[in-house]
Amino acid sequence: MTDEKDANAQQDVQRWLVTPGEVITEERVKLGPGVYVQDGKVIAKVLGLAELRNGMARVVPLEGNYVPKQGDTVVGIVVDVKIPGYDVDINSPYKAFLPRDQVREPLEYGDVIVATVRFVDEVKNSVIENARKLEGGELIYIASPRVPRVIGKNASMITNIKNLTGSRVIVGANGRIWIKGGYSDIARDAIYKIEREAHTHGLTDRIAEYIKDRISESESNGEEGKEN
Amino acid sequence: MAKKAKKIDIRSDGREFDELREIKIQAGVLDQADGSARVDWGITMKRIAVSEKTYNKVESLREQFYIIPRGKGGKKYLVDVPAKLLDKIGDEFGDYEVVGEHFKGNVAIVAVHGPREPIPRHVADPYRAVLRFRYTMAPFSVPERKRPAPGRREIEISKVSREALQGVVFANEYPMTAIDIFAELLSADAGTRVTAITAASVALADAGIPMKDLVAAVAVGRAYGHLVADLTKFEEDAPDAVDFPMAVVPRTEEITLAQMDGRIAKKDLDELVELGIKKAKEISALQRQALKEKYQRVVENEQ
Repeated sequence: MTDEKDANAQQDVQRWLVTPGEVITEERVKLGPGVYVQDGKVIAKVLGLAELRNGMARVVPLEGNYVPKQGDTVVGIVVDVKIPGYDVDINSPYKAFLPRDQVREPLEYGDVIVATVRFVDEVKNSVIENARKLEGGELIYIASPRVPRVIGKNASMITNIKNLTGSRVIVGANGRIWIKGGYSDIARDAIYKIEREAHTHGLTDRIAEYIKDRISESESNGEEGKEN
Repeated sequence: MAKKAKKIDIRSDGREFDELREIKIQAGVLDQADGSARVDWGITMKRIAVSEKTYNKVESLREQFYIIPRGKGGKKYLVDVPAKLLDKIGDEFGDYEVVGEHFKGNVAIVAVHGPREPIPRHVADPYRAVLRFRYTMAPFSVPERKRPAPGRREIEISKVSREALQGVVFANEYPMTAIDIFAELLSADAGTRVTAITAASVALADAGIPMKDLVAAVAVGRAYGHLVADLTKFEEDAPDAVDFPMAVVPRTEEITLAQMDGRIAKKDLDELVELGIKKAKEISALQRQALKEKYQRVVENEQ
């Protein structure tokens, strides 16, 4: 291991890969998401990264479909236009409904929007609000549990990507990401790289390096192109 | 009634009596599924070339050993012999020459889709996700063509496999949805339901579905007077055969699938249950390793 990696490992809380049924700890701790208790043992219930921090055990999942939560920002696609509002596909087994008074201009079938989850009912169907239409750009999909890595601590990762590539990026908690402008192809590749390496350490620095390399590469190619 | 069978001290494929076949598990093999797994579960067969005289003798060995004559190839006669058996009774074949090697056993590919919208919608349960399991065998998976239509056997296996997994899935976290498991057997040589269940629990974990534990399944039983783990088709056809497929939640040692063919003494049955749990724990370690390897591979490729 290099020194840089060591430093990163110390900064981050210790995390390790667990599969369902693996014991995380036998001590009494607070229960976070992704764990259950049996016979006094705290056990992982999903495939993911186990974490023991501030007396709380949890497993950050690596796979799984999106389930809406109140307050999430989601990127959706309009799939039905009705009189009281719109049915929106939010990349989830559950439907979302967008009341008509939550949009400025009428939407059409197929429009891409970004909105906030206002309310989730007992069977997880949701009502979303404050919708804004996204024009143009590119829509990519990643595994929704890995979205927090794309955003980073205090949005450090996503700020980095936006600043370096000059792209507009909107990340939905449901795993849909909208990218427009700037070096959008590099932003896209960087996000896919984050998705693949979501379970590794020192990702923010590695991604920044990756983007810088790719940009300088494409700039030097561009100059050569001009010369010819 | 169990017929009398000679007690033979070398296992028909050369394994130890409590030894599993070779098991290879891979997680995340399909792109379109939310989670997937492939399990290759079988023995290595060696194809050897022998003289005509030895070939005629092979017929008598076939009564107790998993040996398959393959007819004349070139000037020599060909016989398929399990690699482990060849190590033990190689002398019986005189001056033989190994001409090939192949896999004989079960291959299962399992895809998990979901949680997703249940279709038809009326099966949806407002309190929990419905689990659906479809077991199918490819027409070419067995020596005689298997008719592809699901019959009595497939429907039964689908049901018991679903029930083997149902108890460990936290289905209440996904109300009004369906979790679909598709298990496809590409090759079969006894113990396909346990192969399918073992693969399905890896695929469920790979799909990110919350579970109490990974269910591991194995068949135990009796063949030629011995209590054995992980029977082959040859052993299943033994005159005194007992076939006892079981699925185990390894951490709590709960049994979620238990079926049995044949007649057996209570004492032996108790021993089989114990053996099955022990073997299931071995399989469970392989399942966890397979899931972790998927992520380990990424780290190696990208750095």
